[in-house]
Amino acid sequence: MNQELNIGSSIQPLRNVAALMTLTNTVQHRAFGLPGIGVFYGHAGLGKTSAASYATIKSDAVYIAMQRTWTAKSMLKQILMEMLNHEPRGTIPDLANQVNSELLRSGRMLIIDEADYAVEKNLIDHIRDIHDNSQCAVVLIGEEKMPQKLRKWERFHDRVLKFVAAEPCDLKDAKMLAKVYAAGLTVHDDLMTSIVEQNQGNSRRISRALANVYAQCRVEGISDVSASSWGNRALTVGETPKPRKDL
Amino acid sequence: MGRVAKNGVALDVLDQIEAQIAIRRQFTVRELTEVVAASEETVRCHLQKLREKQAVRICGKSGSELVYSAFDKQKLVELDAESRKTARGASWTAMRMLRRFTPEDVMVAVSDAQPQLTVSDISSYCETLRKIGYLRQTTKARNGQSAAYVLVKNTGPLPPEKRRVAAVFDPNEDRYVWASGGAV
Repeated sequence: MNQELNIGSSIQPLRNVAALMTLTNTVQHRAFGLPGIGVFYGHAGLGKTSAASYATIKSDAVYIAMQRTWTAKSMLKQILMEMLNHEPRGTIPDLANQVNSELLRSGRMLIIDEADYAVEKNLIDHIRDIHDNSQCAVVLIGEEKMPQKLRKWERFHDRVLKFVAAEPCDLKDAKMLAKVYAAGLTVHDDLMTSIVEQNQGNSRRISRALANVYAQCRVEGISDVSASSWGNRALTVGETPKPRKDL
Repeated sequence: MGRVAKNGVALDVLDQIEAQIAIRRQFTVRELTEVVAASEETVRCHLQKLREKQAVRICGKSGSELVYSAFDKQKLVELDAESRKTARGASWTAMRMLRRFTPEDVMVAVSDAQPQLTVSDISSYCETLRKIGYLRQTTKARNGQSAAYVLVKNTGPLPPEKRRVAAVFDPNEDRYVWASGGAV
């Protein structure tokens, strides 16, 4: 199902942002009777949280990022704090009722990042309860193996409307990022392609690399840079050093 | 002697309490007591009267304290949503989610919802938040690269913002001794 995205004037969404926005639109505007859970998954560094921040702001969703130490109570409290802006009290059933009624009343979507922790802590059924009782759209964001991990919870798995995989950045994404991280600098496609390849499509690293190229060009007073003018200088930032053999 | 209410409490104290209620989205008895020249008992009694007049309602609990508001629940939800949708609100949401970021990272997140925002606007907001201890700068700005920040104080979903407030400066003590909203 193709849905049009409202694209702003300054920067177009990266393809992972567009993928997550399409997923959120699908679960939010689902047909009557269809389940409203979506799962966005992929390796670290592909820009899942960055895409989530875009989707949260755009759709005024309730966003929480799970933590390893959380219990059912801390998860419910965190959801309520995001909605009510003060620390709630009560037993787990009290808090669950409050979460359901607040989500039902506000009609806001719930986005749960780092959802692998919810799997590890057996909190998936609590999330299913929230979905079933509030009828709100829920999007889980997790690592690459998230869909496989969810198969263990059959009743939850049955309620997933769509799984969407995050993809590495491509040349088009890198050009979009350059508009922000290297504004005013012309970066030729050959150099841009090298940046994407050397940073393995990792959006965070590509952004840092572009900012580094921009800073170097600014020092040298260059407004136009290509692979040949850049030469052999590094295109990665913060790379783990290789072990030294001569010591 | 100033004007006095039936229960013996100075009317200007009651005016102070109501002025504080008017500028707050929600509040607790303790928060009001900290900023008005009245005892906790006086604040509690006056709140009870305002509740009877339905000018104030209980909207939840924070820890062991009751949370009050002059707005009804639906109005609060609307006010919060409006606040989140402002340029500051969108930037603050992005900062809370990204936790470690540059103004450009925030720009990428908010660009569609707030197309008029610039990296310079976001940098300026970051500096405001850094000065009050909500952000820590991890890398200084140089060679056209923006500074990088880490969020160290995440107070909740509504954006902290600069406000102009009335304040009293005492040159004898060389400090501000009072500010509306209890900022001092």
